[in-house]
Formats: sequence, C-alpha cells, structure tokens
Amino acid sequence: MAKTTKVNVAFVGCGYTNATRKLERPETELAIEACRMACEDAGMDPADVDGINPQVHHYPAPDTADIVKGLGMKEVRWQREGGLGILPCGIAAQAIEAGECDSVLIVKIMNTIAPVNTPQIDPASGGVAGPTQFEVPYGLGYSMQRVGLNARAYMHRYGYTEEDLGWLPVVEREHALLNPWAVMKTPMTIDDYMAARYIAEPVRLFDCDMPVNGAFAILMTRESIATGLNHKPVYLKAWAGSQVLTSDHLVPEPLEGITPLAEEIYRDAGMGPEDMDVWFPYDGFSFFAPMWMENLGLVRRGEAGDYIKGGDNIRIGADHPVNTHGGQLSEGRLHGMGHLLEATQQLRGTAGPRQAKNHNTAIISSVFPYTGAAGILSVE
Amino acid sequence: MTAETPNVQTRAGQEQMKKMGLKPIPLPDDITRPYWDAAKKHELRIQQCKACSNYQHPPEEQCAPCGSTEFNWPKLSGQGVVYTFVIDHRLMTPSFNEPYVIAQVNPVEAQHDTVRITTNIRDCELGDVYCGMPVEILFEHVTDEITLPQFRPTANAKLKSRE
Repeated sequence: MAKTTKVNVAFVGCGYTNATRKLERPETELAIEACRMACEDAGMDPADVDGINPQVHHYPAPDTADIVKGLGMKEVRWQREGGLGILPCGIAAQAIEAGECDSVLIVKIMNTIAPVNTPQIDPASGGVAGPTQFEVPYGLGYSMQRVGLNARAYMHRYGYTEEDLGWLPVVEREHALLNPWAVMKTPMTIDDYMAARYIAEPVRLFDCDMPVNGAFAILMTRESIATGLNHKPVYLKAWAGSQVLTSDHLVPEPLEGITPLAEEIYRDAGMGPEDMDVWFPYDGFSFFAPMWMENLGLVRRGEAGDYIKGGDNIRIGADHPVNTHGGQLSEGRLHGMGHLLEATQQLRGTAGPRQAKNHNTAIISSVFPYTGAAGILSVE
Repeated sequence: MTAETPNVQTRAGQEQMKKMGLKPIPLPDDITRPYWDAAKKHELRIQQCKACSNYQHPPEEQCAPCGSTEFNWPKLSGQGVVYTFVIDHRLMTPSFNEPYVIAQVNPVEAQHDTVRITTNIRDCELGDVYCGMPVEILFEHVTDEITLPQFRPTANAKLKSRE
C-alpha cells in the first residue's frame, strides 16, 4: 500500500479536446491542444511548465518529446509516463513538493484503436496458458463479464436490484446533457436503462463506459504560483493508492481495498466523509460507483441501493451531487481525467449549469473499488 | 505467423478466431497439471497448503497466505454452491454461440477459503441459476488430453423451470 501524503499543490488549469467516437486528428496534435488549453485556462505560459506526465493506454504511444517541443516547454525537469486518475496526481504533487519541478501538465491521450483486455488464446491451437486457462475455456475472458460476476455477488449480498443501481447511469446521463464535452447527448430514463440489452447479465449496455478519442489535460502547480493565476486554486489535500493489481485486471471481491487508507486521507485532510460536498466515484462500469461510495464511507455498507434509487440524492441540486459531468458512462472513457477536470471546475465555481450548490470540497476515486486510489480536493 | 493467423490483440483478430470456430482449451503447465490430470480421471482435486491447510484455486507456485510452496492435492466431493454468475449475451469468446452462464462455485469443503471454480452450469435453463444454488460436478471430454470439470444443479436446487 502506498502511504497517504499531505500536499500543498493545486489544480489550476483544465484543457479538453472534443471527445469523439473515431480518432479524427493525430494524437500528438490533440495532446498539445489540450495542454495549451489547460495553460491558457490557468494563465500560465507553457514555457514556464517544467513537468509532464502523458498517460496513454495504447501502443505505440506518442513521443513525449514531440508534445514537449510542440508546447514550447523550455526545460523538462520532471517527466513520468502513464497512470490513471488521482494516483499520478499524488505522485506529481510529491515531485513538486520535493522541489523536483514547479508545475506538471498531466495529459490523458485516449485512442480507441486498442481493445481493452481481450482473452489470450493461441490462434493456431486455441490453447490458453497461465491462470486464465481456468476461465477462458468456460467463456470468461472480458472485463464486463468479470464486472458482472462482482456486481451480481455485491447486489445479492445487500439485496440491491438492477433498477436501484440503474438510477446512477440515468442521473449521470442527465448531468451529461449539461456538459458540452460529453459524448452521450440523448436523454435516458430508468425505463430506457432497463430496456437496454444485456452484455453479461446483470451488466447492461449502459453500465459500460463509452470509449472515446481525444486528449484531456490538467495543470498542477505549487501553492505560491497557484495563488497568482486566473482561478481559485483547487488543492489536492490528501490522497492514497492501494496496491497495484497483480492479477488479471479485476480481482475477486470482496477485498476491503481503500477502506483502511480512506480513514487516513480523511484524517490528513482534517475532514470526514460528511464534509465531502461533491462526489466523484470512478464509474468505468456503473457498479463501481456504489461500491466506491461504500468503501469511502460516503454511504453505509448495504445502503447504496436505497441512496441511489430515484436519483434525488445524487443529482445536481442535491447536497452531495455525484459525477456532475456525466461520469465515464456518459461523458466518455477519459480514464479518470474527466472526474479530475470536473472536480476542479466545480470547486473553483466554473461548472456553469452543472454547478453544485455546495462546492468547497470533493472526493475522487480512481479505478477498481477493491484496489484503486482516492483523494480529497478542497479550495482551502 | 502467417497473414491468415489472427492477431489476438485486436478486435478484428478476436472476431476472426470466432469465425474459425476455434475452441479455447487449457494448456496445462507444471503448476496446473495436477488439476487437469485429476479431471481426466473424473476427479476434482485442488491445491491445499501443507503448512497452513489453505485451499487455493487457481493453483499458484506459492500459498497466498503463508508463502509455502508445498501442496497436497486432496480429492474433493464435487459438491458446491454458486457464489456468483453472469449470463453472457455478447458471445465474444470463440466457440460460444448461444447465451450461456459463467458461474463461480465454492466447493463445500472450501467455502470459507474464497476458492471459486469458474464453470458453466449444465442441465438447466439460463433463468434457473441463482446465488446459493447447490451444484454438483460433471466431467466433459474435450480432447484426449483435456477434460473440463463442469457443474449442474443438484436434486435439491430450486429451479424455476422445474416448478
């Protein structure tokens, strides 16, 4: 388990290209555009940025040097490739705190060319080696099936229905309709959700996030610089990452995951779950969100179904709105960056029609509820 | 690799394998061979740590809780309980062409050890399967080398289709 860290670093700029279903422009060009926009939003010259963290989930990855050159960065003092969500932000914050650099551009570059987690079958013989030899011969080889196995057990344990939890994707769609960056533009009712086809029952089509192409950037910098920029700085108050996955993509639940570390990040931030204004539980699959809400103590275990049902507790206008950008289900698969960008917009008060009424603090989680990372953002 | 060999890393390659009708079969290795050898003899045997008695499946080089590398392979009864399941409708895996159940079964001997055997559920309707359903093992001959353990409801299972 990684340690939790108190940091004094802020998110100060947001940059987005359009998220599209097909790749429309070269990735490097998209990355440069998103980074420029994040700098412009912050009011900082890219030449003054001295750290970069491109995050790519396909190969071959674009060359970081081309992005650096295109941006006109003068000196790169800190560089790291990869990561997803709040965890690499924590690592960047540590680099800034350690004096390795002053500012870091984190840019997520998404390209749908790469399928995610396909079963490894020898194309000549059909042979399956390694641990998945106990799964693929039974037709288990894809993430949505594994998520379905976890989701079924979770729903069975607490008596949640598909409709109870279906309100999360429904409300996220409502939010997406207010978000110009979102790819999903069609209203969806709970009846529409329930009528959608099953992928791996209980996982329906609208329980899976939408793959997109594009680049999305966020700029982090130290407090002394952040206070002189365009927007109210949004501080990363505390974060923690649990262990790296060693198994195949999804581990069997239940593991307690972040829960022991959640107590530490609340303590480091000097706040509790009740102080979190806007909630950003990771929703690469819809079922992750209620699991995360429970693992982070935002709702009690066994109560997420009733909490989500009907949508009134989670939509914009509620005391603690959830994934106000539409989440990955409706904004698009930005692999955690959408949550970060929206949390920043919310806390500095620039979320426009999506603005939450209380917006001093936010909690963000990333990736799988049994293994992922979480962090607390605050304007103070 | 020839030009016709599907690239399993791509969606197109996966589609191509499906069209070829390729059936995925296990490739036993030094760690997994005792499981498949037992299945060939119509026995369910899984790893049990000699040091701490922990049951472990799928088999590993080391016992996860205690790190020991010494295992017994005791014969289990083949009785189990469905822990969780999905009904796959997407049919992306080669040789799976009709909706099917993927279940994870706790063997009765190892229910408290988070041992979950991945299986299909035979001899019932898709809608019959439920969490907690009692099941028993059967063995399906695939090749001379490989027999796949599978599970089906026991006589005590409450099946909607038998009501």
